[in-house]
Formats: sequence, structure tokens, C-alpha cells
Amino acid sequence: MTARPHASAVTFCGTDLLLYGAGYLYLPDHKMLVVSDLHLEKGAAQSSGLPLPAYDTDDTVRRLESACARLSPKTCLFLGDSFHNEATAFRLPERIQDKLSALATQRQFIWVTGNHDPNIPAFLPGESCNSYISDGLVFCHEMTQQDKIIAENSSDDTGSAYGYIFGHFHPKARMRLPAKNVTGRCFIHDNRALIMPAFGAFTGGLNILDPAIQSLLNKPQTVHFCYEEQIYSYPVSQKHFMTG
Amino acid sequence: MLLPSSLLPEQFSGWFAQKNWVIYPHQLEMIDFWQQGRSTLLIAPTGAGKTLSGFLPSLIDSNGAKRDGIHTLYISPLKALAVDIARNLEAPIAEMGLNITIDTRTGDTPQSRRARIRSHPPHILLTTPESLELMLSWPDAAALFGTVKTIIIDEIHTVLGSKRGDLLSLSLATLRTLAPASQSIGLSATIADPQQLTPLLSALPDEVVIFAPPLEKVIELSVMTTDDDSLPWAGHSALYAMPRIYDLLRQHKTTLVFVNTRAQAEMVFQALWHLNDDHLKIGIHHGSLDVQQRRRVEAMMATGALDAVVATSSLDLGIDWADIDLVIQVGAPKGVARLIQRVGRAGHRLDAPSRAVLVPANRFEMLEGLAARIAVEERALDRFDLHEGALDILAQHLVGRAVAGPFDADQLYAQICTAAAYRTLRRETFDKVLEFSATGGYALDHYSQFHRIVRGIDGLWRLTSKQVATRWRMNIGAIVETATLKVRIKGGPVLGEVEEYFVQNLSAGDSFMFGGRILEFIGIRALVVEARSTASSDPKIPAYAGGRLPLSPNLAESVRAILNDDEMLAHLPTSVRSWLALQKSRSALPGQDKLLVETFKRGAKFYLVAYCFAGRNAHQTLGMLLTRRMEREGLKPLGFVATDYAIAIWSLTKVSQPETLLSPDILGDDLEEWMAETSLMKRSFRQVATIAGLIDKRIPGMDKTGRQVTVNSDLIYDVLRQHQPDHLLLQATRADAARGMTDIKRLSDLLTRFDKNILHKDLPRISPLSVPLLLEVGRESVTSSAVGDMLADLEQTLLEEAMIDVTS
Repeated sequence: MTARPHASAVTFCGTDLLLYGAGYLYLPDHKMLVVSDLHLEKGAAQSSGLPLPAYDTDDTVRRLESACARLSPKTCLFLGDSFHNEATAFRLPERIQDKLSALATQRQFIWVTGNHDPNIPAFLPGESCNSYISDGLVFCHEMTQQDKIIAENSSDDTGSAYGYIFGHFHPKARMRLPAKNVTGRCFIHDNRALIMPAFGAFTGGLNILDPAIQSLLNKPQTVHFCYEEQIYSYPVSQKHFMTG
Repeated sequence: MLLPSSLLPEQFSGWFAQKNWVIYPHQLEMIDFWQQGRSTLLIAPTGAGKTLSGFLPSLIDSNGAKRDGIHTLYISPLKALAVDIARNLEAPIAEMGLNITIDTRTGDTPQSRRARIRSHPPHILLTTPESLELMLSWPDAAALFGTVKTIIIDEIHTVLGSKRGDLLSLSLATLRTLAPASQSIGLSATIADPQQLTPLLSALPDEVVIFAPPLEKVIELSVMTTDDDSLPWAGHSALYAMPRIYDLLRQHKTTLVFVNTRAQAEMVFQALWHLNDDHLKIGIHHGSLDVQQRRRVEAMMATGALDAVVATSSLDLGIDWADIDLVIQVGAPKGVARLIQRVGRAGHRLDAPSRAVLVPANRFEMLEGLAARIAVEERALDRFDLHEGALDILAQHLVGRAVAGPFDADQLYAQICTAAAYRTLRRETFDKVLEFSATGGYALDHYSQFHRIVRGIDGLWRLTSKQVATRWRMNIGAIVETATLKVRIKGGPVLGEVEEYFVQNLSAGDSFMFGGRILEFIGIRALVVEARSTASSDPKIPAYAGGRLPLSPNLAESVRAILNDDEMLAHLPTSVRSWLALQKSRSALPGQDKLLVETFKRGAKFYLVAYCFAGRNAHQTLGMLLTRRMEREGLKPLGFVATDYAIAIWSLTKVSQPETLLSPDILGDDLEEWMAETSLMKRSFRQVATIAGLIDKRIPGMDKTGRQVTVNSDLIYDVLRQHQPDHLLLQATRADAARGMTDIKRLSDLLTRFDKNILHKDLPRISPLSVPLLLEVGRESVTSSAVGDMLADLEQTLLEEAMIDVTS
């Protein structure tokens, strides 16, 4: 196996970011880990009559644990849709609660709310908010067209522009390679907006060429493609990216 | 034994006389067996009056009886066949003035008629395995089926060894419990070992009469040969032969043209119409076409209004058209029993010979055609591989039993042990499946909302909600089809259905062949593909999933033998002989004592081709094993293709030592480990999970607006494998993979036979014999470090391109 770095280094709106092939983002200057769209308990949230295995939550939390073990962040920021729905969030099994509490003893948890989880259960460690702003970066669950206009026309005290980092869309890319095509989760960004991949085990994806994503981004765009824990970076072009 | 014709009541013998027909002796014997109260397996070729043989005892008995209720239940593996049989029974019943009612119940039966069956049960009910399982779950099933005296299972050999057969055997066990006085009649084409079928007909298989009257049909089968160079190297369309096929259509009254896949049907149909200067009436028939369209073609064929029909296996079975005087098989037949059945459609009477022409589509198929012709002459029939009943089917059935009403586990276990496929089922396994059906069978049992059935204080198992029943009804059956979308002419009729993945590759303006027309894709609206007719000359072909059957091992081995027999080779046309001669001079012909392996480079890839002749399933397994081994040795395999004859595998690095690569110890590699990572396993898991009720059958064109409502089965597979590797569904998936896609025993025989006995040819270019292989579709690509390398290469390339952009 080629020795590749597991992360891509990107300077986004003046802040250094590390994008990891495992699907999370790290801000070294702030010692902050960012994950999005965990959709915990998605398996358990399916309607009755479909006995899906509920191991997805264990799996997602295990990967969160390994990210914390690798980076030892001081802050762990969840970018919304951390729970698949409110009912299952409030019924979260104790073994999962315990694991999350253990992680939170050494760092601060910040839960940004999303459309799936407008209320974060009080028994969870940390605090919740609609969006988290730091260093000219807005961390939220979803960027709207209005946010886009604001981002393009405003600047903070120092005169530099706001950047948005958000999730919600579960971006995936379909790459055209010489011998085969590969589909996988990815980060995608322009100079003002960065969309995180979904971190949850049972989460599907939306192709980056879908108008829902494209309407939020300007050109040029860059994709950071996650494949087997590695990350690969490409400018977005019709030639190498496919729909579907 | 000569039976008295007194077995036949006057009303019946009069009808035979009036028709100028003589009753076959074996038809009288069937009446005799039935009146003795014995279950019978009738083995006879097509055209032996098999269907009437099955129904005569019932017609005689139920006509005399005064009582109401279903007397005879007829089960056909094919919806179209059930409909056709109903039509064919109506005439004699009317002509003899019998007091018998008939009805059909299949997935295509409209709602209004379904209700009628329940309120006014017919004397004879014709149905399919899936519809039977559904009807058995009705709360009034016991009353409805309690009156059944005869169960007729048509073309029973076609479900043998399949999950559909497993499901049918469970339904039949239930049915026999509800109707203990019933007896069964199985109707089968000639098969190698009839004993394999008797357990389906009775809980006491030894009591079943196996009745194989000596009815040999004369078959005149020829292989179409060409002496010029027109016979293609590869491909399956046989377009080169269309003018000659068209000549045959002109020379015969009614011709059936069989092809192997639906895509082939479309191409052949188009090609024949292109040549149709005589305005012959040519129809097309395959499983993707709309029911109405299919029925129309069937009806026209029955009345002799068509000169020819291009058809897939949708017309293999039963449907009775007396006037077909020629069958043409385009492409290799793949199995002898199937070929005999298809050929039997011509001259559909015992005393008339069946005339058939086999048209090879490429050079390899010419060899196979020759082998098939010899096998038909010798009636060398293929054997079926039996297996233990699938656990996912059992899981589905258990929920179905609870839909019917509360059940007792001990009684149900006893009943299931009378089902053909589950006679050796252990109680332990049954309990595990019951546990899965009830709770999902997970080690963490925290989620009571998953429970589908629960055990009450009375000890009986019952449903937790009506929703479970609804969901079960929607997902019933053993066939998990690829999601399909309806195709509609904009502002016009629905033509049929295409697979979703085919549509995904279409852009507006693209053209494709469907239903015998060339259509232009407009777009998808409300889950329907909208298209318009176009005059485009370069259409894409619908890439249908179904229809590709593996070559039987018998036939594959005969092909190998032919290659080494100069006398046999002389029967081949010159184009094939010169192809083989070229192969012999540039490389070698595959021998019987050494395994021929070729290596060569093409483009950026290094190819390895091994001519194992072990059948596609074994080659598929070998491909997976080889890619794993090559991966470990850093050869960076990219993919492979397996045909019935050979396997080709390509990599970024050259293989210099094929001997070590192909040594038998490759089977010592951890079976599960290598299988678990393949896309084949994930496909198997999706099927198993759907059948067992873990996920719903896919609804095509599902909303993909970012909010995913379903969980992808691949994700479930990965998570389940990580957290509970011994879960029932993973067991069932491994069993499926070991059965359907792998053939370990044949593979190990092969590798042992040729261990250190490999003829390795390292060639400067592609060999003549490997050309067809590399043009084959259905490649398996592999997930490997090679993908990572390609991703990194692309990254580098784009980076460089970007640098040029910046600097220039």
C-alpha cells in the first residue's frame, strides 16, 4: 500500500482544515473535531415489520471513538442530524449513552441541531445550538440560498468573508476511473461553502452533481473523495464525475 | 398392461370420438392411478397430451360430484401458462357439457376477480407458487382448500433445486395439512433422476408412482453453418445469420425463434423486420413486455395469425400451439434438457417430428452447438443439484403462517419436516429461524418495535400488528427482481418495463430498442419512462439482467473433447476450423491433460487467460480467489470475466508464474474471508434480506432528494458482519454464495487435475481463442489497492493539468 497521508490539508476562508478519509474534519488551531449527519439509531427508527440490525449506532460511535483517540480534540462539534429522529434519540440505549459520556469527559461536546433532531436530549453531555460561529466560520446543519447571499456579500470585522461549513446533503461522488467507476462519500467545497460527508453507518448519499448541491456552490469546486480511509482531492469536472 | 376404456365415461369418450382423437394409453393409466388413490409423477416429453393427462381424472371426478368448493388446484411455474391452460380447458368442458367451473389466480389477476375466488370458489383453480402461498395465509384458507382432492403441479422439474422450489414445497406441505385427503399429480419433462421430484408430491415419497411411458419424439436438429468468414468472433446477436433465418421463416408456416436474453430478442426482432420485404407477420414475446402485449401475441399465435414469434424463455413452457413447424434456437442452448423442451415446441404432437435449427452466434457457440446436437441425439440429460431448503425462504414462510393465524411451534415444525426441501431440517435451526422471524435474532435485544411475531400466554405465536401482514404480502416470493420502470410512449400506451439501472445511463435524446421499436428517451415522469418513436439508426440495447443461464458441465466438457478430436472438428465450418488452426499456430489448443494458460499485454493491462472448461460458476469462484491472491502478491488485479469455457483476469502488473498462482492450495485460503468482501456476496445478501423480510423490495425511482428513507442493504451487510458475524442471514447468504455462485468441489477437482500440469504460453499479443472472452459482457471488477492507485493517478493527472492551466 502506498504511504499516503490520511488527510487533505485545505485552507478555507483563512482557516487551516484537515479533511480525513474516514469522513471527519479537524481544525488543528482550535483542536476541534467536526462530524456531521451521524443519524444515530437510524436502524432502530425504521417502521415496524422491518427487523433491521441496530448495530449502526455502535458502529458509528466506534468510529467516533477512534477519531477522538487519534486526534485528542478539545472540542467535538456535531453538525446536526446526529439522531435519525427525536423518538429514538430520547430512547437512546444506555450502553451508547455511557460511551458518549465517556468521550465527553475529556472534551466539550457541541450539538448543532438539524432537521432530524431539533431537540437534543438533556441527558446527553455538552450543549446544543442552532449554529456555531468561530473565526469567521459558520458551522451549521444546512446552508440556505439566503445564507449563500450573505456569505457572498458580507465580511467580518477583519474584512475577510464568512465561510459556511455544513452537512445535511450527504454528498457522494461517482468517479470515472480508467478500469471502473467508484462511488463514495466525499467533502465538496467552493471558496465560501464546504459540505461535510455523512458520518453515520446507515446513511445514503446525494450525488454532488445534483442541483440541490450545485445550486449552493460556485465554481470552481473541489472534491475530497473518501475511499477506504484514504482521501483523494480533485477539481470538479464533467469529465471525471458522473451522475447516478 | 392394457386398460379398459371403460375408465373413460361416455361423455368423454364421445367427445374424443367426435374430435377424431384416440385417447393415449398413458392418459387412461393416469385415470387408473388416480382412482386407486395414488399420487403420480408423469414424465413425458412436450406434446404427449401431458396436461390433459393430469386433468382427465379431475374432470371425470368433479363432474360427477355434487359438492361445492375447490376440487382441483393446478400450480404452474409461469403465469402465462396458467392462463393458457385455463383457456385450453374451457373448450372441452363446454363441448362435453361438463358442470365444472374454472378460475385463475396469479399476480396479474385483477382485484375484482380475486374477490370472486373467495366468495365463489371454482371447481378448478389455476395458480402460481407465489399466489398459492398468499392464498394459504387467508384466515379462511382451511375452509377454502379443505375440499381439494387433486393437486396438479405442472412443469414441476423447472422449480427443482431453486428457492422457488423451496417455497413451493412449504406451501404444498401446508396445503396437504389443510386437505389431508388430497393426492398429487406432478407433470415433468424428461429428467435424469425422477426420484428427485417425488418428495414434492407427497410426505411419503416412496408411495408416489413414477410413471414414464415410453414416448420418444423424433427430433431433427441441425446446426446452421457458414463456410465464409461471416461467423463472428464474439457477441450473442447472430446478426450475420438473419438473412438465412428470414429465408427459413418464409419457407415454413409458423416458426418460433428462441433467443436467450430479452436484449437479444429485441435485436433479432429488429433485424428480421429490417429484412421483411414479404410482409411476414412477426411478433415478439419476452418477460419485460406489458401483459396485454404478451397476451395479444399469444392469442394471435394460437389462431395462426402470426408467421413467426421471437421469444425468450417466456415461451419455453407448455403453451400449446399445434401448428409450429420449425423452431430456431439463436445462440447456444446452454443445457440439453432446455434445448429438448424448446425444440419440442415444433410439431407439438407425439407422432410429428420436431424440426429445429440451431444458430450459433459466435465461434465458441459453434463448438457448443455441435456438442449439443450430439447430446440431443444421445439424450444425455443434465442432472439437478439439490440442496437443503433455504433459510430466508423458511423465515418468510414462518411469518406467513402467523399471517394465517396463531400457530403452535411444535406442530408447525412437524409440518415443515414434510416439505420436500426441509425434510432434514433440525429443530435447532428451525428455532433459530423462528427467533429471527420474531425478533430479528440480534444479540442485542433492546428494540421491541422490531418484533414481528410474539408468543402468547397460550403458547401460540401470533402477529404483533396488521402492518406486518401487509408488508409480508407485498414482499412475498423467492424472486427478488431488479427494480424496473414502466416504459410509455408519450401520450400513448405502456409498452412494458426496463431495469432501473439501464434508465440511469440514459440521457434525454438517447435511443434504445424496446418492444420491437426504436424509442427516444424523453425523461422520467412519475416513475414512468417517457419515450417517443424515432428513426435513429444507432440505438442502445436494453441491458436486461435476466436470462443468462450457465452452460451445463456436461456440455462444457463435450466442447473440450471436440477440440481434441480431429474427426469431430471436421464437422465444423471452415471459418471455425481456421480460427482454431490460427490458435494452434500462435498459441495452442486447450488439451485434455494440460491446462492451457495464456498471458499477454493489451493497452495498460496485463491479461491472464485460463481455459478451464469448468462452467461459469466455478470460474466465477476461481476469479475471486485469484484476484485475492494476486492482490496479496502485489499484482494489482483490476477485474476478471468468467465464461463457461475460460476465465480472463487483468492486472496492472504482469503475472510471470501462473503455475504457482493456480496451485490447488488456493482453496486453503479462508473461504469466508475472501467471499465476504465480494460484490457477489453483497448481492446475495440483498436477496436474502429481502426474502427474509429485513428490507422491502425496492420501489423504483425512489425519492432521492437527500433524505434517504431506506437503508441500503450493503451498509447493513457491512455493519452486521462486523457486529454479529454468525447472524442467521449471513449464514443464509454464505449458503447461497456457496451454492449459486461457487462450485468448490468442481474447482478443487480441476485444480488438482492440473496441478503442475500447466501449459503456459506467454504471447506477444492477444490469442485468437481469447478474443471472444475479452469481448464478453458481465465483468466482475474488484475492489483493491489498484483502485486506490487509480484514484491517486487521477489526482496526479488533474493536478498536472491544473498546473498547465495556471502556467499557460
